[in-house]
Amino acid sequence: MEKPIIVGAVIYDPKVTVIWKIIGDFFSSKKCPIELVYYSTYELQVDGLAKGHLDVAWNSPLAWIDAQRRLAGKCRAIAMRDTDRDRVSHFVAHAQRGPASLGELRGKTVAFGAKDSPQATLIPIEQLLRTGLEAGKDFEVRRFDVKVGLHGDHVGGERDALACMMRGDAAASVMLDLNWDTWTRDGTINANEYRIVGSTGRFDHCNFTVREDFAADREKRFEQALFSMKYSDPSHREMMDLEGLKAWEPGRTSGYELLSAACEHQRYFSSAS
Amino acid sequence: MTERAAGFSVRVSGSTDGSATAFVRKHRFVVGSPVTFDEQAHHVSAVEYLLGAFGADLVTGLLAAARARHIEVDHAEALVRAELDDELAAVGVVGATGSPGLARLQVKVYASSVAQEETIMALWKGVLERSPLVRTLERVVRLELVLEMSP
Repeated sequence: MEKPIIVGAVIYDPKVTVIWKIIGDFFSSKKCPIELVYYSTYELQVDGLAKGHLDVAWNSPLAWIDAQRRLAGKCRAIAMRDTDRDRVSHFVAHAQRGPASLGELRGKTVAFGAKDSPQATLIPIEQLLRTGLEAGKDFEVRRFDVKVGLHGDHVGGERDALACMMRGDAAASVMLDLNWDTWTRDGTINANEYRIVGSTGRFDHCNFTVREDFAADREKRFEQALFSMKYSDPSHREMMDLEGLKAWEPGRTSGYELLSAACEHQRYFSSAS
Repeated sequence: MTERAAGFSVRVSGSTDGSATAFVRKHRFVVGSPVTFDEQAHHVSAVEYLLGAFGADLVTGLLAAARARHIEVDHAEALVRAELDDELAAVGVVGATGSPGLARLQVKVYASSVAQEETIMALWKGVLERSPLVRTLERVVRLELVLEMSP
């Protein structure tokens, strides 16, 4: 029997293993067996990839940056979801009482997500820096460190930040564009009362990361199986809905500049060690 | 009557689909996995069987005790809830620090009877004292066992 490709995934709720089992069964049906290894944090998963315990890691964008750092750039992003490309985060404020632009955040408090959330903390702080606003100097940072280690893989931090802003304890809060869409649709946010006052530049999100030495034939088999997943196929749709995508795309690294700069300017890895 | 061998015996046989069938006397039941977090799982898990067995121990124990004393209990029903110490440990997550074992087992038994509440409570006390599962599990899991009377 062919040696399975070892795939790592970070999970915070055991229910998530149900989705991965469906994906595992799909790969088996494509004659590309995978063995799943679950991690409680991205740091541990990047450790696993670096030490060769894994062949493929389903990495957050911050874990991608960390993997590049720890492997001295000797890794590749081989695939990602369509929904991992070209995301933005929004700064949200009260439509009447709040600031009308990012510039008006000067001297105010801004509510962010967890300290390791690319979309709700690291990238937005970098965006404000590029707007001429320095954290701690030009505006106050109010952070909600929910489930640190999961790189914002949950909405807890963003939801708490939103509640903080809605209470009036912060002038604005930050959230991923997808969360703004969901929360204005389900009534969590009344779009008549709150508005987007600014957004970050575009950034990419998760990817499947492999080490440079991952065998080309195994990488090709993995990609062939992955890209054979089609939203138009009713038997694939549930799995793809659960994973939040309509299509798998080849990996690219052009969308990590904002996060990379954020990590450098905020000294993320030197302060985390 | 032939002499019964001491203790209890159950044979459990694994299947190719990963489930197992338990054969006990003339009965059988299928178990899907040690624990499941899949609402759509096809088979009952071992943990779920344990919870069902525990609730049934208390309900049938109460009904049997009432019957033996000719006390009418119209209906008895148990709601069983349990928590693992660390669910991530139960699925083998690297970095999980807790135990996959049960941390807490809560049972609320609802009973309706025309008998006095004190009478039923005395029955209940006896059920707890004589229950094999209560006396076993109380050594290792935090048990919260409550009887509520309904009119």
